[in-house]
Amino acid sequence: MKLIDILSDDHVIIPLKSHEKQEIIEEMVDHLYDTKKIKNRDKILKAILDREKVMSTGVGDHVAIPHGKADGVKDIVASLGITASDVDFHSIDNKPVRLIFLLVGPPDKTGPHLKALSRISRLMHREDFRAKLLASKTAKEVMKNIREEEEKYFDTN
Amino acid sequence: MNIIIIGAGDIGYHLAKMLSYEKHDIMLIEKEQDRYTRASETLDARVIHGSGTSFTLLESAGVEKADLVVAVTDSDETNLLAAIAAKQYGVERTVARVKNREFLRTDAPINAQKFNIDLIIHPESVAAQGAVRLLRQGAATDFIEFAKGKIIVMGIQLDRDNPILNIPLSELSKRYPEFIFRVIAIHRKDTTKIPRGNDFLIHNDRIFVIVARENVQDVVRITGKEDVKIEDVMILGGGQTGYIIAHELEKEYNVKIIESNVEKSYDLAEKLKRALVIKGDGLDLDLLAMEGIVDMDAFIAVTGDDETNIVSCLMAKHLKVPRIIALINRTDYWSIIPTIGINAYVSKQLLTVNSILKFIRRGAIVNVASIPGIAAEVIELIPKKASKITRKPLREIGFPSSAIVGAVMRDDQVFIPVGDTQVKAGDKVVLVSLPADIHEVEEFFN
Repeated sequence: MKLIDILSDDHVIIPLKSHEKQEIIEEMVDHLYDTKKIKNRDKILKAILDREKVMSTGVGDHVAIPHGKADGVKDIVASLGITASDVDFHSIDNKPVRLIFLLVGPPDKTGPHLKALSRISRLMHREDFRAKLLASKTAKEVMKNIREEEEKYFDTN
Repeated sequence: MNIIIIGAGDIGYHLAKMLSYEKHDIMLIEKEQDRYTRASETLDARVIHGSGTSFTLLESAGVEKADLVVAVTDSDETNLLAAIAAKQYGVERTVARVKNREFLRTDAPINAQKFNIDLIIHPESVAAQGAVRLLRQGAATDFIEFAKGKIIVMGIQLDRDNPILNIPLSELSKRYPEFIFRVIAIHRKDTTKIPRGNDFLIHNDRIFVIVARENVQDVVRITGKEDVKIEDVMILGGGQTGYIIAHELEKEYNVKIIESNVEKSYDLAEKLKRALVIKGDGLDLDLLAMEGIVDMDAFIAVTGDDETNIVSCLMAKHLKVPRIIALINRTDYWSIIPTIGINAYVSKQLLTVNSILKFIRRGAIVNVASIPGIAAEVIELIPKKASKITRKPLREIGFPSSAIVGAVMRDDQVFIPVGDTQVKAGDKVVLVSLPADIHEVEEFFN
């Protein structure tokens, strides 16, 4: 699965208006709701926040991947929010977060969900790529960078 | 030898079983009813129901005549006290198992040296070292060192496409004359076989190969295994074993360690320098995916729960992690583990029993290892002067048919003996034998 298949430029938010973990998640969920990607805002939001309660999805290196599954979502969809400044996400490495990938999907698509998480995790592993994303000014630029990165490393799948 | 074992848990039970194959007088002491019943019904040993710290009980168990006391209950205090008491009764050698690693410190107020205990063993450390050894040795399911590390016994699970299948072993050694190696045991389905020259290997065999250290990689290559270069390692379970593994590996690899307990994970984060500690559930696939399990070169599951270790390893394998290692504590599981797709595993109990056996053996035997899931022991012996084995070439001495001499080290040179070879006193001889014949084998060397 490619990240560009589930992420489009209208779901890249630069910069996020909110400056606090829960508000950021709400802002990103609202955005998905406003663009008609999800039907049940509250259910999705609860699923994501419940997940954060179990453990923070701040996976380190300034990246967080909040995610949840609920009815009212047809297909897996991702959105990317880039913060204007450092945000505390209770990450495992205690570093603040700048890049937030929000991933939502229907409850029955476990396999693709896993693949998407793995793909994001793998892409974000590269420091130079994270820097590139942070330096991007527009959603189009972000998408271009992601597309190039995926072609560079994963053109076989 | 008169041996008293205190504690018939998995370690004590297994140790008594291994020792009962030889001619020892074994007395087992166990406090708990269930364990007592299991031991007394299934072991060829005398079993007493009671506490190892009761002097009356120790006396009635014959401690004054014992040559060795091994205290392996679940309680450090009981084990240490029993070992200390045994020395007072004049027991020559004592072994105590501890859970608290602090007893291993040389500056600890209570340690082996200060209280005259001959061996203090910490099974979690032993298991951690076993896992690290397996990880470093890529393709092997087992990796055991003999003759000061010059001779290696390695286990390999044979895959389908394999250049060494279906040809007689005698042909196999001719095909690779430049490598010093020999197949010494084949585990096929549920039976272990000591092979002869006309036996051959088939798909799914788990084989044990004796090999000179410098040829380990050659054997890995000819069995069609690729050696995975390790950079990223994920460890599941931050108990003592997980911590020791992480501590050892973080020096050279990128290590992530997952622990579900909050306090433990904070504690780990404080003690580990480079490893990244993740608080979470190892059976949470989303978590594993987020943490990049698909990019891991190895996954090591060492929680206290065998089922968690098995399932998480199978998940990691499904996600194509090239190297997986599981800690399996239940002895009942050993034989099924390779058949469900987990190639490499460590057993705290078995490695501990091996270490204790190694310590116990005297005379000609210098090292011994039993192999999990298979019924064979690998032994390193040094023949005494004028012992039976040194008198004639191997072909003529009438060695037990269930045993095979695998390799010999003489003056730092390792070679594979053939029928004409005559072993000399002082050689280091590594051989494999089914347990029932170990005693007979030993006679040849004394």
